[in-house]
Amino acid sequence: MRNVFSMEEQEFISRSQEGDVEAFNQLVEHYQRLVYNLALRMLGNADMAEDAAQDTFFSAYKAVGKFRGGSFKAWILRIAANACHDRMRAARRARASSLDNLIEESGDFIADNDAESPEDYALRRELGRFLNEGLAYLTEDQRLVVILCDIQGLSYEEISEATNSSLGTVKSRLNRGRARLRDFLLQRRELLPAEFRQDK
Amino acid sequence: MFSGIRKTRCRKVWGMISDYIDDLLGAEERNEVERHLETCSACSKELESLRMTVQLLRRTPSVPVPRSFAIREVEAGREEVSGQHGSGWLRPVPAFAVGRVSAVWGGVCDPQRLRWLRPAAAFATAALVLLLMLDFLQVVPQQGGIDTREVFNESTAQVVSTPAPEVEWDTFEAGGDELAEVPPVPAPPSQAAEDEGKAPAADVYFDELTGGNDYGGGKEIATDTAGGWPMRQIEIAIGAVASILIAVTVVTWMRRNRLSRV
Repeated sequence: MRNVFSMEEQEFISRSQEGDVEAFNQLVEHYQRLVYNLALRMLGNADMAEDAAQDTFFSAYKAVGKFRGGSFKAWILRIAANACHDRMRAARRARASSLDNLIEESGDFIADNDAESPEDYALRRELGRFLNEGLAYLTEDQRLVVILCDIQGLSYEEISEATNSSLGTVKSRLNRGRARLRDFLLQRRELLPAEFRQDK
Repeated sequence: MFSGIRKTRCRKVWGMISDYIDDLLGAEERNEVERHLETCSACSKELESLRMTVQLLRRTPSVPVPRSFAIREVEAGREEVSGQHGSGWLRPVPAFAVGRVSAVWGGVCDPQRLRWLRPAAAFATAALVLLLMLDFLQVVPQQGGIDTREVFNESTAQVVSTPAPEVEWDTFEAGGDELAEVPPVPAPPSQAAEDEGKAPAADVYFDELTGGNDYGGGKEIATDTAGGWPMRQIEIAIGAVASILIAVTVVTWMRRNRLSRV
C-alpha cells in the first residue's frame, strides 16, 4: 500500500502544484496522522495540535509550488515543526499556559483498536501521558529530534532534512535528548511499566 | 592516569552511543564500542538505561486524527488558517462565512495579524473618554465663560420666560458662527419692549442666532455648532469607532486566547 502510494505521490505533488486541491488532499490524507502526532507530542495539547496540523497543511498547500523534490515527508514535517514552533511561541507570549498544564489537558490516546482491553487501553493511556511529561522536560530542539527518530521512526537523514540541521547536529541533539529523557524517567521509576522498572 | 584514559574512551563511546543503539555503526566502530562496554560497567549501565528509554519511546502509541485536515475549496484561496478549526464557540463559523470575510478583508482580520487592534482600540477609547470628560466639564462648548448649551438646553418657551439678567451688550454679537460670545440669557420680550432700543426681543435674538431656521430644539443648536465644531456628531462617530474596535479586539483576543488555551 505504501509503495503504491509512493508511486502515486509524485503525481499528486505535480497536480497539487498546478492547484489541484483534490490531489493535494490525497497527500493530506496520507500524512495527516504523522503530522498530527508530531504536533501532539511537541505541544502536548490536542486542541493546539489540531490547529497546528491544519496550519501545516494550509501552509503546505500555499508553498507546494516551491517544493523542488526530495522527501515530501521530510518537507511536510519541517512545515509542521515550524507550525508547532509558532504555536509554542504564541502560547509563551500569551503567558496563558505552560507545557505542564497542556499535558494535563491533552485529550489524546483515543482508543484506536476495538480489540484492545480496557486494562491495556488504560496502561497505554498512562504511558502516553507519562512520556508526554518526559518530552516536555526536553528543549524544543531535542524534543523534535527525539520524536522524529524514536517515535516516528525517521532516519537521521530525513531528520536532518526536516529540521534543516546537519547530521552532526541531529546526532548531538538526539544523544542529549535521550539522556535527558532517561534522567527524567529514572527519577520517576515507580511510574514506569514493570518490565522497565526492574532494569535499573 | 588510567582513569583519564578511561574517561577519554568513555567520551568517545558516548559520541557513538546513539548510532550504536540505532545500529548505524560500521563493523569496526561497533567492535570498538562493544570492547569498551565489556570493561566499563558504568557505560554498560548507561547504555542499558538509554536503550530502555528508546524502547519506551518506540512504544508510544500513534493517536488517530480527530478529524480530516483536508483543504476545502472555499479555504484554498486563504493565506492561512488560524483559529476556526479548534474547539470553542467560534468554531462553528460556516465555511462560506469564513470565505466571504476572508475575501473582503484579505486576511487582515486574521488574529495573528491584528496586532494593531489593541493600541487602536485603546486610543479610540481614550479619545472617547477624554471627549466625554470635556463634555461633562463643559469645557468644549464653553468659550468666553458662557455655556451656550446651558442656555439652549431650556426650551424656547423657557428662554422666553426667563427673567433677563444683566446683559453685557458690549460683547453681544449675534449671528455668524461665534455662538460663544452670545450673552447667557436673552432679554424677554416684555422687558425688551419696556427697554426699547437697548435689547432685542427673544424671538428676534433666536432668529438671529439660528439664521431664521427652525431647529426644533435648543440643544441641537448649541451642541452642533458650539465653537464651530459639530461636537455631538464627533462624539457619536468616535463612540461608534471605539465600540467597533473594542468589539473586534475582544473577539480577536478570545480567539487568540482559545488558541493558547490550557
